[in-house]
Formats: sequence, C-alpha cells, structure tokens
Amino acid sequence: MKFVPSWLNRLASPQHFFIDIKPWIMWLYVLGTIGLLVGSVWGLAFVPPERYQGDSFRILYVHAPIAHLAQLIYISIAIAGVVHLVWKLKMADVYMSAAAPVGCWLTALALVSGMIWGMPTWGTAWVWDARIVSTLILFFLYFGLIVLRRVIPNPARAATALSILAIVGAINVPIIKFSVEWFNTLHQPASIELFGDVSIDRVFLVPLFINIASISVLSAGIILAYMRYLVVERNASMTWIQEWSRGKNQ
Amino acid sequence: MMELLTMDGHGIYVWSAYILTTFVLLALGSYPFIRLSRLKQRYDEDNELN
Repeated sequence: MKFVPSWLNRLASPQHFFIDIKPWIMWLYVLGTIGLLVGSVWGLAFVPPERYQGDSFRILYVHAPIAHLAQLIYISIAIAGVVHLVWKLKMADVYMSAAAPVGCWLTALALVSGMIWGMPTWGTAWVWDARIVSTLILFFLYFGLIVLRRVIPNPARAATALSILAIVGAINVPIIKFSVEWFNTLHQPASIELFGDVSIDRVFLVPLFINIASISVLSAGIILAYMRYLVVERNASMTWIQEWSRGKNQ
Repeated sequence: MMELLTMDGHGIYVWSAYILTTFVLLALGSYPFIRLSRLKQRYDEDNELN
C-alpha cells in the first residue's frame, strides 16, 4: 500500500506497535488528565449558572464530551472493520477488540450521567425519547461486539463477525445525531454544530471544548494501552514477547 | 465553599455525575496496565518453570 505513510505501515506490525507506542500512551494519559482537570474545575467553579437550569447544567461538561466520544469511537470501530475486511490487518482487529469495551463504558456513563441530569431538569431519570433510546441501542451494539469476540472461538471468524456488526451498526450513529431534529424529543437539540451556529455563549463553551479534546486524548491513550495488552496476549508464543517478559525488551 | 458543594440544591446531581465519571475513567485507565502486569507475571512464572 504505497499511499500509507511509512510510520503507519510500521505500526501495523504488532511487534513495532508494542515498542513504538509505549511513550505515546504516557503522554496521552498525562495530557488528557490535565485537560480534564482544567476543563472540569473551570466548568464547576468558574462558569456562571445557566439561566433556566441553574447549576445542574454543569453536568454538561462530563455528559456531552463522553456522549460525543462514545459515538466517535463506534465510527472508528466501523472504519477498522472495513480495514479488516478489505486488507485483513491484524491490528485493525486488535483495535476493534480494544475500543469496544472503552466505547461500551463511555456509552453507559453517558446514559447514567444523562439520567442524573434528567432528574432535576426533566423531573425524571428516564423517558423513552429518541435520543436516549438510540444511545441505549449504541450501548447494546457495543455489548454485542464484546460478546461476539468471546463466543466465537475462531479468531478470524470472530474478527469478521465483529467487522460486519460494527459496519451495520454504524447506521445508528447518524440516528443518534439527528434524533433531536427528526423526532419530537425531550432532549435538547445540539448546542454545537460542526458547520453551523453555536447556540451557547462562549463563557460556557471554552471548558466544554477543553473537556471534549481531553476526553478524546485520554480515550486514545486508554485504547492504545489496551491494544498493547492484547498484542502481548495474542502473540504469547513469539520470541520478542518472551524476551519482553524476561526484561530484555521493554 | 459550601455554595460550590450544594450548588443551590443541585450539588447532589452534579457531584454524583462527576464522581461517577472519575471512578469509571480511573478504572478504564488502570485496567490495561493491571492486565498487562498480570500477564507478564504469568509469562515470568512459565519461563521459570521451563
């Protein structure tokens, strides 16, 4: 594949990935954690209360970044699924297996933090609203990816099944995104549009952007760390793994 | 300080969302390192047996 940069080509090898990615993981953890601390403290203590929701709107700074990322990770898994089906890249399968549990937990967290936010603002923790139901479907899709990997004993077949479910399930992500426009929902419409107007004031926006960027960076670090673990687990018989376990290759 | 904690009656919701997020992110972040360290320990034991 001539159009693939050499560094990316190198990372397609489990051995090179295992060695090269280690310092990146540390930096992603550090940057993500510092960013989340700054954004969260800013959002909790230095932003004025919202006119209608009062202080409960501060849940936005954890809920929205996590919900955005849960969808983004699913799209990335679907892309890895295409890469796996077309090029049979081992690392694409490793990515799917590592990203699915992270996405599953983030979706669960988005649902629960949304339920907590719903109590003071809607007067209820749960409504069968299009945005909430489509996010619940996202959770089940992630759960399906994790279960598929465990119940299919043949790794190659499991990877193909994972790829197909990831690609088919990706249709749910635009449904989540546009559910607040297509259906009459209790959930508020999007506050930020990629190519449109921003409906919230800049005072509220800065910590939100910091937390979106930071949770993205931290999740990238967590997925890479989990991929590194899976590389070791799946290549146990390789000489370089045995050397690593003896401390020759850290 | 009390104002920041109580948040005009919304503190329980806001703080529980933040505490839960912190707990989940800490668990997610440490999990791959714990698993990798256990795996290395297992391989070490296997190497010693061989």
